[in-house]
Amino acid sequence: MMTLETETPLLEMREVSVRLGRGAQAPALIENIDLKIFPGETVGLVGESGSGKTTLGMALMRLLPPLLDQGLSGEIFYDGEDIANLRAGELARLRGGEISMILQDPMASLNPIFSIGNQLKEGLRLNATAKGNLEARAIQALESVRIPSPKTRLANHPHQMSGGMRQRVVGAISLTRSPRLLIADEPTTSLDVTIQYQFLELLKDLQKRMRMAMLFITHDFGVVAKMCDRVAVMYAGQIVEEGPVRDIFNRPAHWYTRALLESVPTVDHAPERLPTIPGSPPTITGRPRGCRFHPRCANAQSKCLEPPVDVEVGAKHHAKCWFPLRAQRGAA
Amino acid sequence: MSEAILSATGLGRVFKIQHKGRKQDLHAVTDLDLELHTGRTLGVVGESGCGKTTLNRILLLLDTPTTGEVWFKGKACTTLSGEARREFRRAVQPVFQNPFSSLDPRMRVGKIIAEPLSTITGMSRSDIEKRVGEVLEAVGLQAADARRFPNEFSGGQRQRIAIARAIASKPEVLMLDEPVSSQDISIRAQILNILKDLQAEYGLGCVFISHDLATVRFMADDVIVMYLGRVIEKGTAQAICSTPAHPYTKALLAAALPPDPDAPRPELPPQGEIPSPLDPPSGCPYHTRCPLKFDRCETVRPPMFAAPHGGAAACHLLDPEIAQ
Repeated sequence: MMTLETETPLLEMREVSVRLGRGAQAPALIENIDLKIFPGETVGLVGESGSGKTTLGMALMRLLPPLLDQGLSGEIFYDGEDIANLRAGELARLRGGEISMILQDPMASLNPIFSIGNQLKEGLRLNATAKGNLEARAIQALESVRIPSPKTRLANHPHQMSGGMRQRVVGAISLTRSPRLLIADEPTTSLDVTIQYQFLELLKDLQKRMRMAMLFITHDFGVVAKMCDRVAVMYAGQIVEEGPVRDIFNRPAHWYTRALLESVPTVDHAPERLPTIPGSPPTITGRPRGCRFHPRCANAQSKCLEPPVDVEVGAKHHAKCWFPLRAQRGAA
Repeated sequence: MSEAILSATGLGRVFKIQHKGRKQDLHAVTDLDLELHTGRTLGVVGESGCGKTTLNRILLLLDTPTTGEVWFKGKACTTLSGEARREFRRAVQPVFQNPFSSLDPRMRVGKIIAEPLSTITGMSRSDIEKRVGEVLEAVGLQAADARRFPNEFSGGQRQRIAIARAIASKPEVLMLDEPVSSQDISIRAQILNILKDLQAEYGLGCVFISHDLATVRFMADDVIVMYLGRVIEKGTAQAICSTPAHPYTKALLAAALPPDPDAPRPELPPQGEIPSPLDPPSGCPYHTRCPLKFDRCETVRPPMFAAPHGGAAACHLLDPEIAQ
């Protein structure tokens, strides 16, 4: 779904950083993040492990461990309200209601000693309109995620279900209160590929019906291509490029994005060798100065020792690079 | 073609397990044949419960098949003992998925690589030291890294160490079980290239086990697709990835999401759950999920039929009698 110019964002992050400590010099897990999510759209957040994508998702929900939460700075506007400054009681109203979350491992999200009916109803009870016939609502919730014979499934415990089914139950629970924003953090990484495909289809369908916005965190470009309207690429704690999904795939501007896209094997052809990015991503305390990608970049120059500015490279498409790529991918 | 270096005939593995208070047979691998030739890579593709890990263990002689035999250079292997078994260990080496659990955290890298050299090949200490340096350099690390511990390395570097260990004894076959699944995307390509280079340099035969068709396409020459313990399709990697014959392979291909937002919708998208290997469906094991099933699929298990791509697939739709 394309966003309209006039629409106001549902969520807006301004200069959000999460540091290990309070000082501006403390090492940052994520640094100066600006990101908008509009109603009904899916924004993909791609990056490798340690790039800060999960920290960003957790910061949005204010679910960081206390020490990191203290190191949170910047503004996170949700529907006009600054989440970064809310107190615990006010946060409880947003979490699970307005903003919900699906995590990677359904076995860690679900409680192994309660039936899934029990865990579904816990969420439903908080929903004022659902009071009364909880059982029927719970069955409905399972039907909405296409679980066969939902009535008997209510009595099941998580271990009695397959991985794909568990993740659908987690989906049902996180959607019981009709959130307007869903944060999905690698929701299909633990699933088999054919099960992943079906879960993604289901999620897309539910999103369309509920007009829900989604922040989809993943390391898999195939999943991004299938699910997202816009993409933000993270590297070493920063968003290094952001733009509409087609631009990111067809005209990547950041050298990191292009190199990453080219290093992914595809089923269509088998080259002799895959193009690679040398080295590995820096650790939090070992980040290079200037452009954080420059030690691995094929086009690094002395200018790259200075922190790059965010440049506009197309319509709603920008990249943090001194020498952004402008050509079509493959043509350069 | 020359004689296979490693092959399996009629391989079956049944685990006797207690499930819901009843004794049951779990058929992890059933009636499996495969052939691996020197210098070639055989891809094994499948999802959870398809038996690919059991197959890996059997081919490494870490598990004994219930039926069938593993052959190495024409010799039956499952009953090998003593010196012959040691020779097999030298010649067939594994690389596992997770280098965080496959490397002993309390051993220095040099010791990790040297251990199989002293126990299997009986090389002298100075030769071993030299070899350790050689293989570390072969995987893009430095000889000096032998003095460091695994925790001083990143995930990608650790997998390089695991590969160095595997090639140290100059093996003829590498068994690669999801060697890049736990790696970051920018690291995967590095590891895959190293494996391909080593294979070309030493003429290794490789078995590459993965759930990801795209990676298999890059690595493998030939592919077998497994479902619930059986091979349901085989062919060249190119054939399997461009013109698959079995509906399950088509579903796997559809699920291998291309990095392209304008990719067309797949012809046969995957549907349904993977059945439990404890309670496999009658007839064709895939019929519960197959959009093209007809009455015969529920009762008769299809044998392998010749497929248009030159390989074979176990699907009734390929039966020449039905096609007419």
